[in-house]
Amino acid sequence: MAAETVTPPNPLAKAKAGDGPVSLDPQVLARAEQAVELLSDDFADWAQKDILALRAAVEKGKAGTLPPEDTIATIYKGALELKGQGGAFGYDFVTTIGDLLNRFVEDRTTISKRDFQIIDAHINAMQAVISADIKGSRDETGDQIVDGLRVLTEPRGA
Amino acid sequence: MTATTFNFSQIRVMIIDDNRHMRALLFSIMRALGFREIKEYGDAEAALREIEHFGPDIVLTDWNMEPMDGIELVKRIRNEGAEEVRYVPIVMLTGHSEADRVRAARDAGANEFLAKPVSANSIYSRILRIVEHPRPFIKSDDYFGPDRRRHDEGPPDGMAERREANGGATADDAPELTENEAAELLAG
Repeated sequence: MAAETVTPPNPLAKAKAGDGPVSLDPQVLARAEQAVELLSDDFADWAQKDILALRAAVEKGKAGTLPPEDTIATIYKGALELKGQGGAFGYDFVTTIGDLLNRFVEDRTTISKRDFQIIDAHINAMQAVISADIKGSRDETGDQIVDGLRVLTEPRGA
Repeated sequence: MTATTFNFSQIRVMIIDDNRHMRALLFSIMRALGFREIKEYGDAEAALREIEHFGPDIVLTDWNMEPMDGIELVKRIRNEGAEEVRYVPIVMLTGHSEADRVRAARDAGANEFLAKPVSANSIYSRILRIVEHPRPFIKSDDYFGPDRRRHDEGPPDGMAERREANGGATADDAPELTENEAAELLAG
């Protein structure tokens, strides 16, 4: 079948009024940003639970009670969630560390003892950022933590 | 000519994310932006069961969910949904940023992409883009969804060059994505 172009009605068009230049109400955006700010007070507790779940998966992986592929999938998903939430609530370093952990585990099929140590270091680092309430993307301690992790995850001999 | 303003109070939103913290975040942002008819779902299957009944005007969905992920959800809405819902605008939220993953989301039929972590501003801008720049849909043997060529917007340079090079492209030609173009899509 040849490609056919269809122009469906836009269901969001009913939200629009006027035909001139777009006028955004800055108060609307400010209100939304304030709503996020209010939720960010809860993020430390949420993240704590996610970190505990990550640790539990790692311990099962170490003990051999969770198969390596399931351990890796659980760690990847947990790190992805923390990566996705951290920066939204102002914890940019949690996002950075979550991303590093994702990259570290994503192509693995097995986890060595050293790999587990590196995974633990990432989890400890996220814990440290939250415990110390390090917010934003500029912080000397945060930079040191991330630099330390990067050294750990660089290929040996590089 | 009067200034264009937006009132989202009559717009029905479906939020799908298996992480309740992300759902809380998205719900709060949408509510603060003026949306009043918001339904949230912790799994894609539940959302699929209710989508025809609820009839959303826009869907925000996470990618990385279990057991059904966001890609599968989008494909099923586009290919198996009733006529009233298969054209619904879909914004795919993702923590992934690799070009092949973004390409997979685009080829499933998502309208817009949003890289996590999200912000009120990034969500607002995606929604306004859908309001202001709706894209036609393409029906072909192997694709049903929004036109994957973003020719109706002020484009990032890479895409503009690609479009010029693809001057004779047919309607269902979907350009490959470079890493930079994937980043542009995610950044909006």
